[in-house]
Amino acid sequence: MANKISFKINGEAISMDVQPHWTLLRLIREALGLTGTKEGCGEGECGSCTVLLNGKPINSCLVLAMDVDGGAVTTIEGLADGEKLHPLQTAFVEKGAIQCGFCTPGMILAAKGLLDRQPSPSEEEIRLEMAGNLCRCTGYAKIIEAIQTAAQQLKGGADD
Amino acid sequence: MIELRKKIKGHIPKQKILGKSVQKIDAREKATGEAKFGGDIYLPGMLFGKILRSRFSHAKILNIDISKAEKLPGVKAVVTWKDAPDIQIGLYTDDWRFFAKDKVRYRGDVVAAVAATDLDIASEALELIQVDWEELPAVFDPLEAMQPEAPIVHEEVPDNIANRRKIRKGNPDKVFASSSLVFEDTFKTQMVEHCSIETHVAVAQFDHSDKLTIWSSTQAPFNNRLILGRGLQMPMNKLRIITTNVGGAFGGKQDLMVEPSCALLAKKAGRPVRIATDREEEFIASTVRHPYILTYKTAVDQQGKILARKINIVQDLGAYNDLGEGVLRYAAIMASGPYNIDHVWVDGVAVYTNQQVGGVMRGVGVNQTTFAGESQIDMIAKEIKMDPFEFRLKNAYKNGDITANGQQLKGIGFRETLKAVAEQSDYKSRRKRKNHGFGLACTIYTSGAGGRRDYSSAVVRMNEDGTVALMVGVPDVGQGCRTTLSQICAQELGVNYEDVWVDQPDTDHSPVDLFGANASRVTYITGNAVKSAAAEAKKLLLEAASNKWEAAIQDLLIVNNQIYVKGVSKPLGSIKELVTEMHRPLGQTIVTSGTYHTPGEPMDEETGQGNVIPIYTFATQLAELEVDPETGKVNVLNIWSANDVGKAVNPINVEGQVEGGIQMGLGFALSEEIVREQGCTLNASFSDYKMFTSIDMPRIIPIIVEMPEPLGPYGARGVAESTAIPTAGAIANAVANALGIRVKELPLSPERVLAALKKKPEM
Repeated sequence: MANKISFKINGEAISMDVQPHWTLLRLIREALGLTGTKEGCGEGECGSCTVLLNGKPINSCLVLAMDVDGGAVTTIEGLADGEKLHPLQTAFVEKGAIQCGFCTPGMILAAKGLLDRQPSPSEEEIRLEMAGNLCRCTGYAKIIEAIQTAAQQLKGGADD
Repeated sequence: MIELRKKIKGHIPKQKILGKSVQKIDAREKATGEAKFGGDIYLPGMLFGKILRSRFSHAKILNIDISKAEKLPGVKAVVTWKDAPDIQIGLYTDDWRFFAKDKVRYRGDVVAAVAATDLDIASEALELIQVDWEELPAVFDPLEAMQPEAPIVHEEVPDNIANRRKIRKGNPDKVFASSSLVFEDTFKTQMVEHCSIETHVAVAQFDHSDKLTIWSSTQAPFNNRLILGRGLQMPMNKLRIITTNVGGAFGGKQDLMVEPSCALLAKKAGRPVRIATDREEEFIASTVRHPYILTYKTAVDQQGKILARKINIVQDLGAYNDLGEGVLRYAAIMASGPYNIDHVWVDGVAVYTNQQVGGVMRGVGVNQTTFAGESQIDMIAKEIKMDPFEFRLKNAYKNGDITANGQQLKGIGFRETLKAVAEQSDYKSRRKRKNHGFGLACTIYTSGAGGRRDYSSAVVRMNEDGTVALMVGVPDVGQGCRTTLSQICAQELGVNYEDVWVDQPDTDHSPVDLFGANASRVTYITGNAVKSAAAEAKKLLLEAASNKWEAAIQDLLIVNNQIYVKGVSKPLGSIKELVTEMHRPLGQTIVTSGTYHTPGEPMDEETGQGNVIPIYTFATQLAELEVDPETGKVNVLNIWSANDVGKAVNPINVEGQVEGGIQMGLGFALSEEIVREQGCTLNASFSDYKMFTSIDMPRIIPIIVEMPEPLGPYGARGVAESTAIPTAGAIANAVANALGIRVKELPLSPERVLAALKKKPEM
C-alpha cells in the first residue's frame, strides 16, 4: 500500500515510501525524525505544525504526505545556517518572544512565509497573518515585535 | 599616565545580573526546534498508547471485556483497574482512581488504556473494548447537587459537599442592620480550560530492576512522584520522573492525566509507551477552572468607606476534589478584595457534580471572586456617585492593615499600582466617545502556597572549571524560571550568568520541591532556596580564597568570577583557579544546598484566621474598549496593567507574564467557555473554543511597580498569576462604563451584552 514520493526537505532531495493516509506532519516527525515541527491539535486550528511547502506556510497536519511529491518542504530545522540563526530566530530569542516555545517553530515559519512575500508588512498585516498560530503564553506582543525587528534586519536596515 | 592611574585607582566592578533582561537560557534551542518536549521522546521499541474514557456522565461499570482488543494485531497491552493497586488516591481527598472500577462520574473518567505498535491500531483497539454500563441519574448543577434528593456522586459524601471554608472577621450582619447603603448582587462564572498548546504527554519505561522511568511534560514532578508512587505502591527510589520541556502549563499540568496509564501499559507490555492526549481529550477530560456562583453583600457609608462584606461562594468541583479544596481556600481568603474592611464573612462550599473536574488555573479561584467583587465595587461607586478610582483608593489596603484572614500587611505596593495605572493611562482626562469606556479592577493574591507551609530546596555544585551546576525541583514551563533562578544564583555567588546552567528537574537527581511551578511561588520560594545555596557555596569559596591568598574572609569579594580584596581593583585570581586547585589533587567538590520555608501557620477551620499567606501581591488593571451596540461585540483597545513585583529579576520576563496573563484574562472575560449540555462538551476544539488570537489582542501596557518585598530574594515577589486575575472585572466595568449596562455573568459574549442592552431602561 506504500507509495513512493520524491521531494526536497530543507534543501535536500529524498525519495521514500509513505502510507496513503499519512499526513505531512507524521511524515516529518515520525519518518524523518524532525521533531521541531509540533502537533498542538491535529485539526489545522493551532498552527503549531506550520511548515513551508513550496515557500508557503501550511498546516502540515492538514496536508497528506503523498501530496508533497515533487515539492519542497522547509521545517524549523532548515532555517539556521549552521551556528548562525535566521534573523527571525534571533529576533524571537532577543525580544523575549519565546516562553514555553511549543508554538515557536510554527510561528517562525508562518512569519517567514509572510516576510518572503511581503518584506515590509504593517503591524496589522502581521497580526492578521499570525492569527492562525495560537500562543497561550505571550499574548503575542513580543512575537509581533520580533517579526517587525526581523523584517527590518532582512531588509538590510539593521538599525535596531 | 591615564592608563597608569586606572591601574592603581580603578574600580572593582559590580555584580549586576539581577534586574537585567538576560537572554533566556533555553531560548536558542526553542527557536531552532531542538528543544525536546514529551512528544519528541522516541525510545527504541516504543509503543503508542490511547485512553478509553467514560461514555456516560454517571454510570455503573458492570463489566469490561478487553479480549477482542487484546487480539488485534499490533496491540501489546490493554489495562484496566484490574492492573492497578486497588486503592483510591487524590491530592486533598482520596476520592479518585487511576482507572474507574465500580462506576464512572464524568465523561473524562479513565476506563481502560491500550498500547500498540502504531497510534492507528491503538485507536482501533479502543473501539473493540466492550463495556457494560448501567446509566445512573446525573447532576450537573451544584445548586441542584445540594438538594436532598440529588444523585450522589460519591457514596461516602451523601450531601455532595466535599469542602466548606469560612472566614470570620467582625460581624457584617450587625453592620447591615444599621446601614442604609447595602448592596447585594449575584455573579456567575463559566468553565474554562488552560489550553496549553502542547497537550498532556508522557513516556514510561519499566525495566527488570522494577525501575519505572517517566518522561513527562509536568509542572510538578515531585508531586506527581508522590501521588503516582502512592497509587502504584512504589517506593520513590524506583520511580523516576524526568521533566521534559513543558509546552505551557498554567495549572493544568500537575494532574496525572496520562502517567498512570502509561506506566501500567509499559509494565504490562514490557516496552516503553508514550501517551499524548489529543485536543478533544483536553477539552473533555483535563482539569478546568471551577465555575462559581458568587453572592456579594456589601455595606458602605455616605463617604464611601466599605463597612462590611459578606460573601457566599458555590464552587462546582466536578466529579473529583483534585485541587478544589485549595482553590476554595484561596478564593475565600481573597474574596473581599484588596480593601481594608472591618467586617468580613465568607462562606464557601465546594460541591461534587458529574461535570468535568476543576483544578487550578492561573489565579486559583481568585479570578472568579475578583470579577464579582470588582464588578460590585464599580456598581456601588456609581450608586453613591463616587469616582471608581477614588472609591478604591479610599478603601485600598496599606501597610499595617489587617486582612480578612487576620494577617498584617507589610511592604506592599498596592496603592502604587492604582496610582501608576491612573497616571500612565491619563484616562480621567481623556475624552470618552459614544459606546466607549474605561474600567478598573484590582486584585489581591499570594506569592507562595497559601494556607499551608510552602518550602523548597536548591543545590549548587561548582564544576572544576569554576562554572556552576544549579539544581532545583521546579520546572520551567515557559515562565522562564530556569533563567531567573540562574540570575539569582549568579548574582549571589559572584559568577557570570552564562556560567550557570540549570536543567529541568529529574526526581532522581534534583532537590525535592513538592509544589512545582505553582502559586506564583518559584521566584520567591525557590529563589530564596537558590540564594541560600549560592551563599553557602560562596562562603566555601571565600574560605578557600582566604587560605590561598592569606587574606581575611571579610576583606574578600567575588565579582564576575574574579576574587578581589576590597579596595584593590586588580583581582587576586579567579574562581576557576581556586576551584581547579581544590579539585586537583584534593578531590574536593563544592556542593551546597539551600532551603526556604514559610511560617505556615494553620488556618483556623471555624474563622479562617491565621498568618497563612506567605506574601500578598497586588495588581491593578485598566481596560479601554468600545462596544458595537448592534452586535454586542466588545473591541478591547488598551489594557494597562500595574503589578507590584517587588523587584523585577528579569524585566522582559515580567512583561511577558503580564502580556500572556492578560490574553488568558481576556478570554475569561469575553470569549472562552467550555459549553456543556448534560455533561457533554459541545465545543471541544480550538475552532469552537475561542481564545484571543494575534488580531484580537489589544495593546498592552505593562507597568512594573517595585516596592521591595522584605521576604523576597533581592526584594522580589511572584507575578505569574496576578496578571490574569483582574482582567475580567476591568472588562465588565469598562462595558458598564461604555453602555450603562451591567453583565453579571461571564463571558461577556455578544449575546449577553445584547441581551443586557435590550433590558436596559431608556435613558
